[in-house]
Amino acid sequence: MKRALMGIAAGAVLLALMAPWLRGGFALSLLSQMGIAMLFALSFNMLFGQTGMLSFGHAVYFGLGGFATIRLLGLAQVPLELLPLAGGLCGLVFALLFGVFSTRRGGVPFSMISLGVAEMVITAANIMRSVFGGEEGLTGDRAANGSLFGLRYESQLSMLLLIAAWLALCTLAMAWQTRTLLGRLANAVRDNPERVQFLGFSPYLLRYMQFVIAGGFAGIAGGLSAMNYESTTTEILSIGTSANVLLATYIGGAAFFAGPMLGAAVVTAMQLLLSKATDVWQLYFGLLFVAVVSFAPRGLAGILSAVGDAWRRHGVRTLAPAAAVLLSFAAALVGLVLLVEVNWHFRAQPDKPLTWFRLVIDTRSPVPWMVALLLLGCGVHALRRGLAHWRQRFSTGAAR
Amino acid sequence: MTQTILFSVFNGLLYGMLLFMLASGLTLIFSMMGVLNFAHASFFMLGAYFAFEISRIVGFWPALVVAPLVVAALGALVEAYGLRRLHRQGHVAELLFTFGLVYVIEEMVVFFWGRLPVDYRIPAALDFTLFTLFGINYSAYRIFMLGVAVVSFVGLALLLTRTRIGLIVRAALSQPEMLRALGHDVPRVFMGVFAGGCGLAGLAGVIGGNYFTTQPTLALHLGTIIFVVVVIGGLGSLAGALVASLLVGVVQTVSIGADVSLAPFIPVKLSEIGALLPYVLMVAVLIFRPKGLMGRRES
Repeated sequence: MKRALMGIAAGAVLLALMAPWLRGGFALSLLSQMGIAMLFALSFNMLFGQTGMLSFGHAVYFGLGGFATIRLLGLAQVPLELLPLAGGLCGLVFALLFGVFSTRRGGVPFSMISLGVAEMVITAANIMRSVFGGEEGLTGDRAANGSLFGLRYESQLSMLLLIAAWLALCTLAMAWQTRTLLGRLANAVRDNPERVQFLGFSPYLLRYMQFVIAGGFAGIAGGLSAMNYESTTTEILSIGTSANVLLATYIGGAAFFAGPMLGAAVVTAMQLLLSKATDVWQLYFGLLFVAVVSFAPRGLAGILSAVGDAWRRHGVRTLAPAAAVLLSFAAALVGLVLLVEVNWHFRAQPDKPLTWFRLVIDTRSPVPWMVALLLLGCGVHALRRGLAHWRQRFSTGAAR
Repeated sequence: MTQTILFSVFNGLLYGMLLFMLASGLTLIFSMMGVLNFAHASFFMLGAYFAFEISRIVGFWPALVVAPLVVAALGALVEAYGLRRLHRQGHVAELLFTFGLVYVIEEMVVFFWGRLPVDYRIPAALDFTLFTLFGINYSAYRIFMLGVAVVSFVGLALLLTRTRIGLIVRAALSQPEMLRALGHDVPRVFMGVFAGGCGLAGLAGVIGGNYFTTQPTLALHLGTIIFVVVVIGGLGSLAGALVASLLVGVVQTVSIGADVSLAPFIPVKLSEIGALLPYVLMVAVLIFRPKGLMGRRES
C-alpha cells in the first residue's frame, strides 16, 4: 500500500517533470494509451497473477464498458469525470452474468471457456448492429459532456490528466484489495484450491468474486478508452485486445503488483513505435512473448528484481557480467532483426537498396545475410555463456 | 426443402469430420500431457500452405503425403525444444507458449506467403461432379474429403485399440509413472503423440485448405471453433470430441443455409445467427452439464 502510494507519487512527479515536452500530440496520445493499458493490465492481473485464472476474453468487459460509456458520451447532464463509472458498472454486470458458469472451474477449463464466451460476445456484437453500430462503431463528443468542476475536456492533455487520476485511484484500490481477506484467499485459490476448500471457503465463489471485480476495473479502463478516442468499434472486444493485455501482463511480470503496469507501458510504446518502423512488427512481438515465456517467466519485473538483488549483495562486481549479458543480447537482437528485415525487403522489392537508419544495404549481396547470421549466432552463444556465468555467481535460486 | 436440409446436413457432417480431425489430436494431446495446444489450428493452416507449395512443384498427391509429415516433424520439434522444457513450470506456461506460437506461426505465414489468400485449388483430377441427387451436384472432392476423414478416423481408432503402439500410448495416458518404470521412454511417447496430433491437423489442412480459403486468419478462426468443440464434448474424451464435432458441424452448416425466420422470439433470421450457435451451445452445455457431453475428468 505504502509502495503503491509512493509509486503513484513518483508517477505524478515524472508526469510533471515531463510536462514541458508534452506539447507534441504523439507523446500525449502515447501516454494516454499507456495509462489506459496499465489500468486494463492491472485488472487482468487480478485474475491471472492474483487468482491464477488465465482469461483469453478479458477484452469483453473492457469493450462492453467502452460501449456503455460511448452511449453516455456527449450528454450534457452527465459529468465526464464520473463517466468511467458507467463503464465499470457495465463491465461488472456482465462479469456477474458470465462469471456464473465460467468461473466454476479454474485452470485450463476456465481459459477455454473464457475464449468461447469472448467469441460469443464478438459474434453477437457484430450481429446486433443497432446496439453496437456495426462496422463503423459508435462515436461521441466528450467536450459536450458536463463536468463536476466546470471544466471542458477538449485537449488531449486534459484527457491525459483525467486518465492519470483514474489510474491512480484504481491502482490504490487494487493495491488495497490485494491485502484484504478476499485478496489473500485469491492467492490461496491460485496456489491450492483444495486446501481453501478444507478451510471452509468455496474456491468457486472466490474465483467468481475476483472475476466480477476484475470485470469492473476492466470496464473502467474501457470507459476511459472510449472517452479518449471518442469512438468505439466492435474491434475493441476482439481476441486481439484480450491477447494484448495478456502479453503486456506476462511480459511485465505477473508475479509483481507493478509488473503489469511496466509491461503495459513497454508493450504500448513498442506497438506504436514499431508499427511505424517496420511491416513485420507483429512477428517481433510474438517472438518476444515466446522468448519471455521460455526464458524469463517472471517477466521484465522479474529480471529487474533479480538484477537489483544481485546489486545489493554483490555491488559493483555485478556490473561487468551484466554488461556482457546485455551486450550479447543486443548483438543477437540486432542480428535477428537484420536477418528478418533483409529477408523481408529481399522478398518485397529486391531492386531497391534497404535504408536502415543511415546504413544503405543491398539485400541482393550475401554480405548483410552473413553479418546477420554471424551476429545472431555469436550473440546467442555469448548470451548463453553469460547467463550461465551470471547464474553461477549471483543467483540465489530464483530463476532469472 | 427436404433436399436443401439433406444437402446441408451432408455438408455439415463433412465439416464436422474435418473438425474432428483437429479435435481428436487436440484431445489426445490434452489427455496425455495436460497441455491444451493453442496452436493446433495453426498446424492445420501450415498443412494447407505446405500442400499449396508442394502441389505447385510435384502435384497434389505427393503433397497429400509429404505436407502432413513435414507438419508432424515441426510438431515434434516444438514439443522437444519448446514444450518439454516448460513442463516443469506448469500448464499455464505451456498454454501461453502455444498461444505465442499462434502469433509467431501466423506472422511467419504472412512473411512467406503474404496476407492475401493463396490460390490453393482443388486438384483437377477430383474437380468433377460425382453424382447428382435431388438435382444437386456432389463434387467428387467432397466425397474424397469425407473418405480421407473417415479413413484417418478408423485408422486412429485401430491404432489406439489394436496395436502395441496404441497400448503404450494408452498406458502413457493413464499410468505414465508405471510405464516409465517398465523401461519405456515416456517423453518420447509424448513427442510422438504431439507430432501425430499435429500431423493429423496438417492432413486436415491439406484436404481442408482448398475447401475453405487458405489465408493467414484461418488458424485463429478455426482454433476457437475446435476449442468450443472440445469443451462441448468434454475435455479429454475422444468419443465426446467426435459427437461434438459432428454436432457443431451440422448445427452451424444447417443454420447458415436455413432461410427460417425466428420472428416470434427474436427479429432475425436463423441464418444470421448461425455463427453464434456453437457458442450458445457451449454455454448451454456448461450450465447444464459442466463436464461436457461425455467428459469424466473433473480437473
